[in-house]
Amino acid sequence: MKKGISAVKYIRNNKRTCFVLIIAFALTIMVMYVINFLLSATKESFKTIMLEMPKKVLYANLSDAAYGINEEDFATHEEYVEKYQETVEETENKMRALDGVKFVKRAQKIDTKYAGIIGMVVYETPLLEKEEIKGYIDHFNAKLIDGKMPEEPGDILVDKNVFANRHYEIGGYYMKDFYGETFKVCGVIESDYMICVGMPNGFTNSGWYTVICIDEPITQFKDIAEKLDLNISETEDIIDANDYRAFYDDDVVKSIDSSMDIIILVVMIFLAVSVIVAYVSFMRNRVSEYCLYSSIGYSKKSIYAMMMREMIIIFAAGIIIGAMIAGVIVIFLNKTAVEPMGLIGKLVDLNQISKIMTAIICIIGLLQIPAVMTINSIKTIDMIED
Amino acid sequence: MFEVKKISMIYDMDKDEKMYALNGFDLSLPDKGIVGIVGPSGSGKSTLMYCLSTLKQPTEGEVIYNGKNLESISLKERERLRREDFGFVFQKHYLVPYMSAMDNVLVAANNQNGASKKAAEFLKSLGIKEKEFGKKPSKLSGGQCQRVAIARAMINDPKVVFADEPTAALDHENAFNVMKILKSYAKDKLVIVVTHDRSILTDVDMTVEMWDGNISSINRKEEIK
Ligand SMILES: Nc1ncnc2c1ncn2[C@@H]1O[C@H](COP(=O)(O)OP(=O)(O)OP(=O)(O)O)[C@@H](O)[C@H]1O
Ligand SMILES: [Mg+2]
Repeated sequence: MKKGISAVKYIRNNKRTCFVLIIAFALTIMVMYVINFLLSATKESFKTIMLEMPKKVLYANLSDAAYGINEEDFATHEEYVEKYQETVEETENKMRALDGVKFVKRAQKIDTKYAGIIGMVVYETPLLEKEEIKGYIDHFNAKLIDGKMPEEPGDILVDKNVFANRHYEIGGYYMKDFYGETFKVCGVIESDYMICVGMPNGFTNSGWYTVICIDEPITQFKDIAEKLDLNISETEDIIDANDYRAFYDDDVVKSIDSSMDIIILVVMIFLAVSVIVAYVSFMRNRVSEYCLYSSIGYSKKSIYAMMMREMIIIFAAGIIIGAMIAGVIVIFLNKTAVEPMGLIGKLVDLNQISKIMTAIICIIGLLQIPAVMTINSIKTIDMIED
Repeated sequence: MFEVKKISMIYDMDKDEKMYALNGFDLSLPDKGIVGIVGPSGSGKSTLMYCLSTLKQPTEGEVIYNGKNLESISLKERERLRREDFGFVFQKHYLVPYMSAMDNVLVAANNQNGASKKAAEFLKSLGIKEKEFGKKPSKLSGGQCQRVAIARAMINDPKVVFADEPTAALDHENAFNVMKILKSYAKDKLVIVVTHDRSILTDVDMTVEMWDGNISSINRKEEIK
């Protein structure tokens, strides 16, 4: 009867060595996943603001050139302003008629601050009339989960993540460090877009914009400008998906993804080197054992197969234990740190899992070098005894 | 069982001087019984044993085992012979350091069914007590290690046991015991014992005396009697 050499014998008889190897391996996997989880919590939250929200709303504050108006063509400044406002209104009416445009309003907007574990975004919150707010939050499928809808000037509805993130209280001041005691939190809303909205309270110097709620087929301001023959240059003040995408790619992706990749690379190189060093000495200690196997008739192939089975068992145990520890820690951190900070944690990050798996496969691949070298150095005992 | 024809083994082929470890002799070995190979150190005893057991290939001449020329068979077939037909006791015991005495016997077992019971019987008959089965080689005496190695060699009921100085690490009583076990095994199998200690070879079926790569004499039991 043909059989292979048992791989569990070594593991059973060298529990300490194998345990250390498995645990070291498990911890490395865990660290990589947890660091990624914390950093990506920032990324995931910023993604909502920068990539999801602009799919539903955009802001434009166009110059007279965009409308084809030149102040020099007018006798007085008043005439010019009148014509300008008339054109803006006309254009807004045309926008309302477009497929995909749900709501258009000339309004002030204020800044909303939201901090990640690293970095911070400041984004737009429009100030609308009381009657308009219901429609606005419906556009985002947002639900009031606490407090009440805005009634008084300066009342603000705050997204639940922002609410947690900035430690707001219902009835407390909103963005006090920016606007003093102008705005108050009146309610908390929940949506997939992290939007806030409120009612104006006098004039804020955050400027006036055309707030445009959109849906497919409109994805950015360019889609509107093309249909209405607006003359849009690079310098126009437009805040839309296009604008945010550049911001996201430049700031978030570059800083978080690249630092994440560097961490993974460093940890992986460290892991690879230590695993390979450990394995080389592990194999070297066992050459005479392999020589015995070869002498009593096991082929090099079956010895190699045994080495690989041992390796796979150790790696698999490391992966399983690492995944379990990582799972527990990630769930714990999500409940105790990420959610209380109003951040969005991605518990299952397939992208990161595939990166870790790729790295492990690379390490197993690299380990073939010492394994094959060891196999080739196997001699039968007649050669050793001389 | 073995027909050896004009076997020679030359080492240091590159140098001008050729070293004949085996110098072109013929030898025929029976299917069963115990065969002692004696001779001074360096006379070529181990080399002959390695050639018979497929670990080494002779420079010239042939070794025929059960009608098969060992030189013409594949590596795979050679490995199969070593695994199934042959058992080995090497000059040093070559036990696996991290395995218990028991596991060191079982590691060679081709069939795990009932192997541990069989291994326990062998170990006991070789004078290893049950409480020592779980000990690692480093906790066993040299003689105990050697006896574990003998049990390992017999675990697959090989047709031929090759034993290179199996009693070197043993005291007289244990050496005698081991020889008794090998002799009883040799009732229906072939046991080849390499040694330079003539005293353990009393009552063997055949003695091959080697001298400087040649056979100086062969004694069969019938002739001794
Ligand atoms: N790999 C080798 N390279 C060169 N010479 C070798 C080699 N193996 C054995 N020899 C030589 O061949 C001769 C026979 O060696 P062998 O090991 O067969 O002797 P032996 O009878 O088993 O001796 P001992 O009783 O010391 O084990 C010796 O002179 C030895 O030096
Ligand atoms: Mg020898």
